[in-house]
Amino acid sequence: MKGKLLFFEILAATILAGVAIYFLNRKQNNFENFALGKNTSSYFASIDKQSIHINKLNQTSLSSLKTGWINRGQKDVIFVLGNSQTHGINQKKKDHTNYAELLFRDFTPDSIEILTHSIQNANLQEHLLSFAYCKEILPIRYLVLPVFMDDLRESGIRKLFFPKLIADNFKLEGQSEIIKKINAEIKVEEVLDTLPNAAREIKEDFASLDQTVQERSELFLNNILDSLSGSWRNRPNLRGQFFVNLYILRNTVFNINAQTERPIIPQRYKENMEALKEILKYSEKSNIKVLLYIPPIRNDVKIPYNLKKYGEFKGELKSLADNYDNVSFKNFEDIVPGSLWGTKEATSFFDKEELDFMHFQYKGHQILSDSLSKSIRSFLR
Amino acid sequence: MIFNSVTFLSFLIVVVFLYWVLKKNYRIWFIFLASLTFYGFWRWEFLSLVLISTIADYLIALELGRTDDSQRTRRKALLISSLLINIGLLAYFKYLYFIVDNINFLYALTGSQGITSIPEIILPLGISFYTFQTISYSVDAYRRHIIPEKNFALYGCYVTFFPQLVAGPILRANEVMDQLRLRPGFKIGFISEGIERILYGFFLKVVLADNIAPLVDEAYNIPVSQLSALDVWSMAFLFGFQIYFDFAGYSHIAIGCAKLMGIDFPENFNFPYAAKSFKSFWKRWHISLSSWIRDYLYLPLAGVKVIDPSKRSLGGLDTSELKNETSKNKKDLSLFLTWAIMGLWHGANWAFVFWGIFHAILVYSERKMKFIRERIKILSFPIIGWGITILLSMIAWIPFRTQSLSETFIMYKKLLSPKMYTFLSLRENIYLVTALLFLGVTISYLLSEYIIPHAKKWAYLITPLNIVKFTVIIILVFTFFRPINQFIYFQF
Repeated sequence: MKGKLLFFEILAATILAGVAIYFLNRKQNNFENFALGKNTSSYFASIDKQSIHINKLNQTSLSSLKTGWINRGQKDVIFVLGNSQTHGINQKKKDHTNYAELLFRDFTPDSIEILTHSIQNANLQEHLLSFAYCKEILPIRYLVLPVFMDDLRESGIRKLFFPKLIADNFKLEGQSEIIKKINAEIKVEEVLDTLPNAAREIKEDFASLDQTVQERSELFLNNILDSLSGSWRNRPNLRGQFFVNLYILRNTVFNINAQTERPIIPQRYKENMEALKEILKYSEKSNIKVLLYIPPIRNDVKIPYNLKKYGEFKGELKSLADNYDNVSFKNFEDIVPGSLWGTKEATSFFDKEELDFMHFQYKGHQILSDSLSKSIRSFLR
Repeated sequence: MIFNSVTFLSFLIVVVFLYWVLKKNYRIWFIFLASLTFYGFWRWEFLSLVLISTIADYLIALELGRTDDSQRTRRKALLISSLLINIGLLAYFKYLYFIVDNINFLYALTGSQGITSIPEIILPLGISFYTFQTISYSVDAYRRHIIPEKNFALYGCYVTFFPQLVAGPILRANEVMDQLRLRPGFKIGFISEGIERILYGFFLKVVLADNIAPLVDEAYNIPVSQLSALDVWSMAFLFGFQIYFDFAGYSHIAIGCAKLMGIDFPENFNFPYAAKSFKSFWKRWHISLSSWIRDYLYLPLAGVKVIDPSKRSLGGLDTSELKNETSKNKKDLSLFLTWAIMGLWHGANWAFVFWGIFHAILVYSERKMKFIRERIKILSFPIIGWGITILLSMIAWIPFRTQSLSETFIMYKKLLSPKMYTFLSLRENIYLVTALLFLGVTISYLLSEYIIPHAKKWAYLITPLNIVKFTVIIILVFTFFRPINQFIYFQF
């Protein structure tokens, strides 16, 4: 009797779980939009259908970026790196654009052009990788690099944004600890090289089966399940949803919102600063000028950092820039007035909206574009 | 074959279905062949090793059965040959690098060149587990605790039965041989109870352990010089939970798979972090190993004759039987030696030996301080015992996870420095997850021990609550099911 009842319970649960998974899968999430919030939109500009601003360093976007650059006469390049502040526009209207495109248009008459790569929550290790790779394929003469205190809390290389580098088995030159760490993270196993992209993603899920007979059967069976069941195929989306909900739950329980102070994580801070030093060393070696700047932050309310630490961070950046003749330092933290910043939907269950400290409106992009343009031009002279 | 894979699930469904469809006489051969197939999915070339160990002990045990007590020398020679084969295989495949490294270290002290050429060796999956099982079989036959099995397939099933082949529980012949011989008829309860245990196991492994793993990796990748004492505590607890969920998950799945075929395995875990003493901890953690060590290593080393095999130990290095039988010094020496070997069993590295000695010190201190606890009443409060046990058993895990013993010592030193308690170096989520897991494990223990057994008044709620529980588990297991990480104990 006990066994039968248990069987019934498991059977009923299986049916309920099946229905729940079906409905959960109907909701397709764009996790980038979740991070940006509904009021902010991503925008990556193209000119004559060729990208001037890209997000992922994959075959398609890199080839589009390069084709456009060739078509426009292969000018020298000012390479702009950024995070979602670069590609996100708060309350975007149809004709609104971001500072990456504004700068591009501003410099169009010149003998140099602006190309941009921005990744949401980009850390300086990712910037280092992007810069080191792009300077090999484009004649970069100037680098524009914002350093967000917030992004120093991030670490590691998200392979999702660097598929072309991984496929090319790209390696950073140098022997520092941070370079070794990044090279280890983007290391490609030989077996992976032989697989098509989709299979490669699945293979990463099978890390524990490496070089066993089971690896082949697992790949084969998963391909069958993928082709038979949308729910199975969509499991990465379910995993994403799960973690987003956990994040919201955490924020709700601990009353965390955008204004909550974000402490420095010492190891990550140190690794990112090491990566920044490597960027500056690379640029010096390659004779590339760098504009290093503190990006705008909403200043009509208390910022979500410890003010003493934030001051130290700015000082550290300035003294680092002072060590290099090819590096200019600017502080743009106050240039965008509070009214041009937006809000985003709250990341907790009960609040509706919270302040957005990262993304501003089109007018903010215009202000930043003007300031950057002036600084770049004065630096170019 | 790794459990958390589609390959294994497909294999399991086919095997369980055919097992019940086949005639009873064919089932044993079928399980034996299925178990070899299961192992071959890892590396078929290592099947020969499993078979060498299996066949050797089968023949030795049969021969032991044929000899009588007057042939003591022959019986001893047979037992020694079994130990030599099993321990020899283990020593070569698991400990050769370790032995050579240490020999080379000694050579280096004398300024001479050491051994430079050693073959490349792959550690065969599960070798520590199945060799212990075959050793126990020969020893039991020698002690006449069992009658050696003549049916090779039946004996082969005992050694290679796939649910326990690669990471236990380490079974004794008297725990499963009769079940395999009798092979009970089909009951729906076998299937439902088996699935229930498998679901719990997958939940612990793919939902908890595999999602804790990146946090553990992140924390242990930080240079130790940057860590605070609170970081060290968090890392110790976090890894303690990871290894517990990982291994307990494996054991649940193993027990569940055997149950699907009507075979009962002994439990391997029983809320170890609820233990109120170190002795109790080892009666709750990896029970099959600690009881094996006790019966086949500790008691013989302490000079105690194991008399009653039917009363299987519940695990732990209990010494109550040793009173008046052995000298105090021998008992203490055996304790430390046993624990050092227990450590070495986990891995060919001094860090594991250190871990073993650490536990020996804890058990030894607990024994020696018994009189203090009796005099100072507050120390006898269960909560005090629990607090001390969980704190020390968690920090004992540190050498399991760090890169070197020197890192371990630096981390321990931080725990003793008040200055090291004034800052934090990890991401906030790591502390949060650690705290939540601590809370979750404590609440589940309290629920299962004190609330559920006494909640008869609400019996009508059990079925709906079970359905909700299983629904959540199935959704989460479905979402996270992938062989992204091996079971930690596979490396032992």
